[in-house]
Amino acid sequence: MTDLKQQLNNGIKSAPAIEPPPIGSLLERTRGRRRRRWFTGTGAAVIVAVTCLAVVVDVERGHVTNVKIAIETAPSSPPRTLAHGANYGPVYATIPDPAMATCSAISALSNAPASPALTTIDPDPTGVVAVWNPGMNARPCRVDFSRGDAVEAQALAAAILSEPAFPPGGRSCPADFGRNVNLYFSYGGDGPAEIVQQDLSGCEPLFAPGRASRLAGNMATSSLLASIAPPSYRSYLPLNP
Amino acid sequence: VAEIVSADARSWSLSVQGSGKGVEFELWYQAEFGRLARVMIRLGVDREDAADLAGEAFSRALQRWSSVSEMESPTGWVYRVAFNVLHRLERRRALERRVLAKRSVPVPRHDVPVWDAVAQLPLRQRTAVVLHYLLDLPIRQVASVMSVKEGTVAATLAAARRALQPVLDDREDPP
Repeated sequence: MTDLKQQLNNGIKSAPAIEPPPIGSLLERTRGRRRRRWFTGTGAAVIVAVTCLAVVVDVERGHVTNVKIAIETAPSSPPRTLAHGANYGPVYATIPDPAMATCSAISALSNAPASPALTTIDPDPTGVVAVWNPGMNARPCRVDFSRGDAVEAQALAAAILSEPAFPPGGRSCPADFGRNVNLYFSYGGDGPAEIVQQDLSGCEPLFAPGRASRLAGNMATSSLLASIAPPSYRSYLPLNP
Repeated sequence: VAEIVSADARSWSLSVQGSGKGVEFELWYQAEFGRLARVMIRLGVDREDAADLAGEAFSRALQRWSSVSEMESPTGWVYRVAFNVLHRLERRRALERRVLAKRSVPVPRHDVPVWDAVAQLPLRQRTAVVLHYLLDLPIRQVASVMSVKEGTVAATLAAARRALQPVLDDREDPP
């Protein structure tokens, strides 16, 4: 059967090559599978059974004489005006896929060259994803993700917007280890997120790429960041006054 | 190279370097994905579906990587998963064809008759042939991957060889 083995192998070698997709797409599949599970098989049966039981109980109590099923769709979010390429306003970014987020990718943001426009975000986010980068000395390099809900995101956005511009001129700062957190504010729908980066060492500027930095000395910003920070990052907060 | 090492409702962490499991999966995935996708193509699946089937099998492996990586043959396991998914896909398509009252659509023909013949084998024979003759897994490991006894594998392979014999006999020897 060497011939069979050889023919099978030859057939495979002559087949067209297919490159493996990024691992992030595999993670997406696993997450999709987990989400779907409740709506199929046993999960669906349980949901249907509980719903029917609830209706029957209500009918027996005389509370319901007829049953209406209403299907409502969520109102779509209003279209947002994008400022891609403009040298003012928020900076848009895609929230990184956890599978593709490496330390080098996360720390790649640069605040130079800065335009005169101050770092800004829209004040009404519906959520925030924080991507915590431990900096260049961390071994192994581990990126942490955390998230805040609409209330936390709006409070954080308001605190950031109240921070003053980074003072001009020379400034003596502690050592900069490249530790930072990237904040991706989302605004509902499929629109892009707005990004700002808060450095957690050195001069600790708060900035978006290509925008002038702010100096986050406000305790509100520090305490709100601490509330969504993974435990290992809380020791770096509050920020330097 | 990344692996979700912990997750809760609010935060999740990735180990980007130094955690053996994530690196191990990445290397294995990069090495094996292409061959599995090519096997799918040779079994009559179009290019797009082949990539999708292989992706599905590897995503299931990723989901259970802590246990799959401990198996004697993670590659054998992922092939078995892929064949099961392919089998379900074929059954669904056959049903669709019957429901639509269309004539049977022939399996796409390739220039590799032996793979066309393998594509016509029942699921169990097809799985055993690929695991044993393509991946070079010994009978014991094939039995373990397929969750059957070694004797069953031997009998399955014998039946598959009988079915494939005409294709192998037809092959002209070079002068």
